[in-house]
Amino acid sequence: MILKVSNLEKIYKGKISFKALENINMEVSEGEFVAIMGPSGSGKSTFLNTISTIDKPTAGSVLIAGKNPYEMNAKQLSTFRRKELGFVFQQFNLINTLTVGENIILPLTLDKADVKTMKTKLEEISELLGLSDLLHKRTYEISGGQAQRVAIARAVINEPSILLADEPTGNLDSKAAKDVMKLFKKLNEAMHVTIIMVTHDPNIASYSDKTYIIKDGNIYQEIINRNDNKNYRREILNTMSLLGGDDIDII
Amino acid sequence: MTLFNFAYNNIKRDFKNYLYHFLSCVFSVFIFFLFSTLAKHPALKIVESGSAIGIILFMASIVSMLFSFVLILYSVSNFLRNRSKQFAILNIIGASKGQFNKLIFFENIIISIFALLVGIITGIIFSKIFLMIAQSMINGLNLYFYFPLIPLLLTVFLMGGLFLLISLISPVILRKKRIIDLLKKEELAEKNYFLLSLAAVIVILSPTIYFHIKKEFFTFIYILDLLSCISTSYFIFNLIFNVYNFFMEKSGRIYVNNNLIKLSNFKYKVNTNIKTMAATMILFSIILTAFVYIVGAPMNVTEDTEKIMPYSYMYANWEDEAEGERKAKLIADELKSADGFKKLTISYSELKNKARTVRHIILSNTMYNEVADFLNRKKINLSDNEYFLVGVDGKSKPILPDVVKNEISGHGITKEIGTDKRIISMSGYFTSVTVISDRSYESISSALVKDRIYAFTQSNLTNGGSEDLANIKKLIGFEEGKESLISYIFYYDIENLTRRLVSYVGSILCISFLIGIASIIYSRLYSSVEEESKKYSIMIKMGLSKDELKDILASTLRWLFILPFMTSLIISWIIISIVNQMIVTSYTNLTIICSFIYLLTEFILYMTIKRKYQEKILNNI
Repeated sequence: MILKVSNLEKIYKGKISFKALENINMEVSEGEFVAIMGPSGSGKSTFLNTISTIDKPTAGSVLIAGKNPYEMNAKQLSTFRRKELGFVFQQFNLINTLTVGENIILPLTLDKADVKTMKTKLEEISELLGLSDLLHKRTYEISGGQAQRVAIARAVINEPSILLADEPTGNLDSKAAKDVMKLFKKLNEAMHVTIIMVTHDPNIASYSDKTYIIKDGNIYQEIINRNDNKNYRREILNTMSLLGGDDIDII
Repeated sequence: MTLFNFAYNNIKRDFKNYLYHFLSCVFSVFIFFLFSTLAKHPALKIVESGSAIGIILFMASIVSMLFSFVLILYSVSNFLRNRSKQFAILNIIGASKGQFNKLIFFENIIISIFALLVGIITGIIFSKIFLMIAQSMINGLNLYFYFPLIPLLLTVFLMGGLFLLISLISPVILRKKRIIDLLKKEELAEKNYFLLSLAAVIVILSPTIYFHIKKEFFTFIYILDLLSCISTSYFIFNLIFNVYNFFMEKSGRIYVNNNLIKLSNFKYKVNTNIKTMAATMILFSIILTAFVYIVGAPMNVTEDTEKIMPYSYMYANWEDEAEGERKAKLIADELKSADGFKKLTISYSELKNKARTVRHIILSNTMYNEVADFLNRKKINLSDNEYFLVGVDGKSKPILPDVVKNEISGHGITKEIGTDKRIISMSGYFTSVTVISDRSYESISSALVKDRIYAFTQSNLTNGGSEDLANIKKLIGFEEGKESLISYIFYYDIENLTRRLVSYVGSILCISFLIGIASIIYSRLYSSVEEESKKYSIMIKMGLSKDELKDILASTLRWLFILPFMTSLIISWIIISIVNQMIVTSYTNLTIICSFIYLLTEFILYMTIKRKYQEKILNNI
């Protein structure tokens, strides 16, 4: 089990306390590609943040590769993020003072890898993700789809245990979104990268092996792709429309 | 790629973001270097470090260092905040705290080294001009150009040290924010720290006032004073805004004339705004007050010197009366060719005292009238039970000391009929001067020590030079410790040089403070141009007219620039009127003239900044 979440709970304290997550249990095994869906405000991003060490849960436990990140000190946590986790965001979050290539090798820099390793790894990953021609460009010189591919390259260059993606296609047009999902699939199949992805788009979710649907902070349903993409997609769509999400759009 | 490369790339490729910080550093180096070139100038070698001039130059370096420290800290915290998102990204991809600190440290060091280079080079280029300005402002010094090796080393070490210190503490400024907040798409509204600032004022101000009342002064008190100043001004502006906001809400006027937008704008960045206002107000107060004295001080040297030394020469022999008489005659012979020469022997009685420098003296009415005549003052006429007090330091109103009181009250002299704070000897020579009627004097003086001083004067007190004093001393065979000879011109020269130096140093400090204000306002307005433009472009789409937008922007500027200015103008009036009571010269007329100049300048500045800021936002929409 690469990720084991048990009895997870997150309450936002304030004038009116708000329970964002309640009693969530989930297990993800190595090499799995999991999508997390839910209507706005259902708690899907909060869930991703709590399992990605960004936002501490109020109760329950998160085990990633057998380790509990919330029991670590700051130094261990940063090493853990560097080695075990890769992040992809809706906003790409590239560092604009660095070139594309430099952005990709940034995690290796933080890891104090030697220059030779950086070079070979950069070559490998940019080849795989089709970024070889862009390495010397600046982040504002490339398109959104390309920027997201750079972010993915940066996320996986350290060969993390899990790749966490928060609406990775939210800022992209449908063509670029499709490309990014194909990349995810490729990484998942070729490099056996475990992926956990939050999305609100059923079409994007249908690239995964398994979709969890969250509603009001609970797991509402678990939909599994049984090697029937069409059926899988329809099932997701139906559930979402039941929850008052997007309209049913069965082709 | 190493962390150092990363830091270097950050600066090289995003120089615009670092430019403001870089310029603050360069400017600080430049100013410090200029002071050092003046302070370490070979022509000033004769100045002892303990003398007034030495202290002024030393204080100026300290003030410019402190100012640099605050300015750089402000700009560092600003540019770190602008990059908080980058730090969040780094954090999430696994940069450790140590790596963060290293990155910020490297960036600071790179900027510091370049700033030192640029600052010193521009400093060397401009030092010639500044030395020329200094020379024309402080006449009597030959400030030629020299290669400033010592100032250079001093700047490298001291400013380098300061930069190093800031590089070490700047990671601390980057308070550990939660990554989740940093990664959010929109910036959060700032909190209003009203209660916290109230608490700070209470905690800091009360001990400060306590120590001042108790008159327990120690070096730490200056830091307390400074902190009280800062916390009080922060609190007061916070209070002003909150009260204003409260009344706008209560009266419903918040919904009129775009007041809602103006107020919410201010509230959104309330902490930054109030910080900016407090900083601007403090700097303005210093500048507006100091400027009056910078202009005024060199104008009144003649009058002020007369207040501490009313004669052209004063001589006293402490040991031998006959010898004193002989030497006084020699001096008179030397000086008598001068236009309007006059000589007066002032005889008096002195209370016995072990210390030679403590001189409580008693003058007869006739003697005082002679002195008054000599100095063109009003004569007095005392009855036997009356006394009259004369000043001894030129500043404060004279009071009757207890020892003298005991002495004269025994003779039935109890009625004070007046005082004159103007002195009749060089400042500080007498400890107290009491005038009594001739008859009382005769009966009292028999039990007291008799002594005298010789006063010489001429119509133009500034005639001659300091070297005349040395010549006369040589002529009479002056013996240190047995007699005293002092000249007006000697005081005048010191006073003149000191004041002109203060003026020069003060004006450079004033200019740098002014630039400090400009940079604080600039960074407040321009660091958020993009964010603001985005907000206003939405409002314009909703039907906000351009004129209304301009009005809203002007309102921000009024809060940030006009209110602190007006407050500091009032504060400077208060300070000047307090100081007026303590010193010999009145600066009231000058203050009125200066205030008009200030108001005009402020108006022009406000109009210019307003237009530029409005243009900038409108162009961005």
